[in-house]
Amino acid sequence: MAEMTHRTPADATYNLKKDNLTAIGQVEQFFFREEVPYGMALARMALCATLLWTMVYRWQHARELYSTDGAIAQLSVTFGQGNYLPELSGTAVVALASLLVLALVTSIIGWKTRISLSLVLVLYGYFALLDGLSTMTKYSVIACHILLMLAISNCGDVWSVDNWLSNRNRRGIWPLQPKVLRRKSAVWPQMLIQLFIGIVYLGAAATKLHTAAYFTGDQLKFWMVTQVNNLHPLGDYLVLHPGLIVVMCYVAIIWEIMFVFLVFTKWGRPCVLFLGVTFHAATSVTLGLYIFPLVMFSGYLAYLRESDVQTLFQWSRYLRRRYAGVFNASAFDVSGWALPDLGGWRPAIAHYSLLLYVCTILITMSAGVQAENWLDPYGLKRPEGPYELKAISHAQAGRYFQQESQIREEDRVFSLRLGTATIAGIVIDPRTEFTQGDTVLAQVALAPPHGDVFLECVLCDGAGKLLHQEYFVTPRECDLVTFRLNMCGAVEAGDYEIIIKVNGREAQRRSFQLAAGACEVVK
Amino acid sequence: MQKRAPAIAFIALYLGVLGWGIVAHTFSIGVNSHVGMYFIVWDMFCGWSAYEQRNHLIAEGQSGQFYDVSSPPWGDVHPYGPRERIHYDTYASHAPRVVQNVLKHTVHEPIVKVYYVEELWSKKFNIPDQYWEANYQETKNRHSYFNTRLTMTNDAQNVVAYQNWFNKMQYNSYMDNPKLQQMAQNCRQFFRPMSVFDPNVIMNANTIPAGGVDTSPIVPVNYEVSRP
Repeated sequence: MAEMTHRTPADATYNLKKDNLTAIGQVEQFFFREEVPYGMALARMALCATLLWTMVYRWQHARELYSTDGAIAQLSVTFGQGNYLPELSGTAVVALASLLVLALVTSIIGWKTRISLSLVLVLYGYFALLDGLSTMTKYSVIACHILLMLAISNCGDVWSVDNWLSNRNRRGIWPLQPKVLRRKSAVWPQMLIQLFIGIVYLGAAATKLHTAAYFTGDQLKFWMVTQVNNLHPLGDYLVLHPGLIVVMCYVAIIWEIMFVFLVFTKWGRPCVLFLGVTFHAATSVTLGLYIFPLVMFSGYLAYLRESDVQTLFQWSRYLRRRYAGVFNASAFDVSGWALPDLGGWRPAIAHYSLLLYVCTILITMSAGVQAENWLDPYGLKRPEGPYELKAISHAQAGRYFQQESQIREEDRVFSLRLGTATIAGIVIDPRTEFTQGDTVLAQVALAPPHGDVFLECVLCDGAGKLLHQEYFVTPRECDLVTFRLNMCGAVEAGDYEIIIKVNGREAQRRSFQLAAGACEVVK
Repeated sequence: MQKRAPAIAFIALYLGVLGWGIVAHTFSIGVNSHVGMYFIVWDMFCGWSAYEQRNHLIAEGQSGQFYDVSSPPWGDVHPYGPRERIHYDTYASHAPRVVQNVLKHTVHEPIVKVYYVEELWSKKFNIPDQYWEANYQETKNRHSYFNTRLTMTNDAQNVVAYQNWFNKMQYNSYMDNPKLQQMAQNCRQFFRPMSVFDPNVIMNANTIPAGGVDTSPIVPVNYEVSRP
């Protein structure tokens, strides 16, 4: 266990306060202390693998998405500024898309890392700007920022083909090997990624502060039930528990604001990073976001310091020894992993590495163009000729041209919930059984744009006899109305129904049972 | 220090740009002034409405036959899930090029006109059946609203834009107020230029076919006439 408490020089240099430095000295140490870029190498591999997943799919549609032979949707058009970027022919775009896929692969393995990452940055940014509909999203932007930092960092110094080819310290890539073998570099690109992620969260919090509907949970509720992303089973369930959503909203915004201030402190860092991982993982099952969390997790790897990676390796070594008899110990011995020694071939490969790289690029681009030509994305070379337009029936076409000037009354109400307790104005204990003496809260969530509506809450007994009626003139900006019905006094135990009417027409109803309670029944 | 000067300059510039993004976004200063702002403004949470939207591109042939142009016959792109690419064109900015591309690569009769139609329904109908049954006593009866957002000629040129459905509903709710209606009437000038942003354009447009039924032909009519 002695190894577990071993402190490295990297630890000592990171602890700014103990060094009694001036403010400038602390800033200098913050950006310019030197470490082995393990975190950046991991971020490089994870981010490029994620982008590779997205771009391999888009490669087959490259002609359609990014070329003049397709339907380019430049982001600048959405900003009302016309087409900013040059648009290329189908063949050129397919060649560049193939190059992008290759550059992502070479970035993952770390072959000509800086050139590869620069190519990825330029090409991915270009394609994303060309396709504002289906390539450019905020995760693309975040990925571009991280790629920029990776391209100017020395993330190819470890765990890369470049490192293997350079004969200097190919045995020194593992954290527990002697420090004289490790190649250190200034950490400022890594620190900029860390700051960048904190600033993104701060900006996201600013957006939420601008959005009043965020704090009522409405924004998140409607997002959770939207079907434009992937499947989100937990979101479908949570949408019926808006009280939980409101609590999550408050936790999320507090975490987003605090992130950048806590992530550079000793105890704050693991806490906010753990919350971040939880938050982004939750967006997968609640909102159907798959790529966004992976991009953020890749960025999170930049928070790994040299000392963290060393600690992880010490743990793995400890576990290997501890459970040597249980598992195959060699399976955990990653520090022994190395690319094969090709003997006399390796210096030759290293010498011609750039030439090989250029040749690989040219071959990949040509092969990509040939493959796409063979795939014939528009089906122009089919024996039966180009595709025909899909005809639709008159009935179907007529349906598209129905124009209604008003929304149905039942569509103005999103949900009706009965309960007795609220958090932030939201009913949190939905139920269908009450006891005499309870105050039943009938909460109506309206779906904007509902306009100004006359809302009625009608209480009926089991036989449908009207017992009580309340109404509320709801202005267009009000999306939540709660009627309070005191079940004490004249209301006997039995079955009841609450009916919500909008502009005189029934929109929703809920049945409930009232059990006898301690409250005196006044006849 | 001299060796570090470029790095220091880069750090200062980069953090300055990110900082400007935060300030611009927080105080709403020129957030949409330039496409570059998209790279420094973090509005990942904007405008999720209570209605689910789908977009349809419908082409009208010379024979009166209608065609679906929104789904290319060679297969669609599904960028972020099961939805097709055209459904992410929220502002109807890119539809003309999508239309051009589909028409260019398919065989078809001469096309007279293409319509970009929004379809919307309340998102409560997206709730899975098992949760619906547990939380709603009503039968699940989804109703779609349709709104013609753009019309364009066969070459996807001469695009005429109309209000989106949300603005239209909002406008209708304002116009439910008779006092406001009267004031609008009083303020209206006798001579004025036609504007695509004016709701009157859609009301008077003689170009949008009215809803048809199975057997009756779809003929262009004045939308104002068809209003209830």
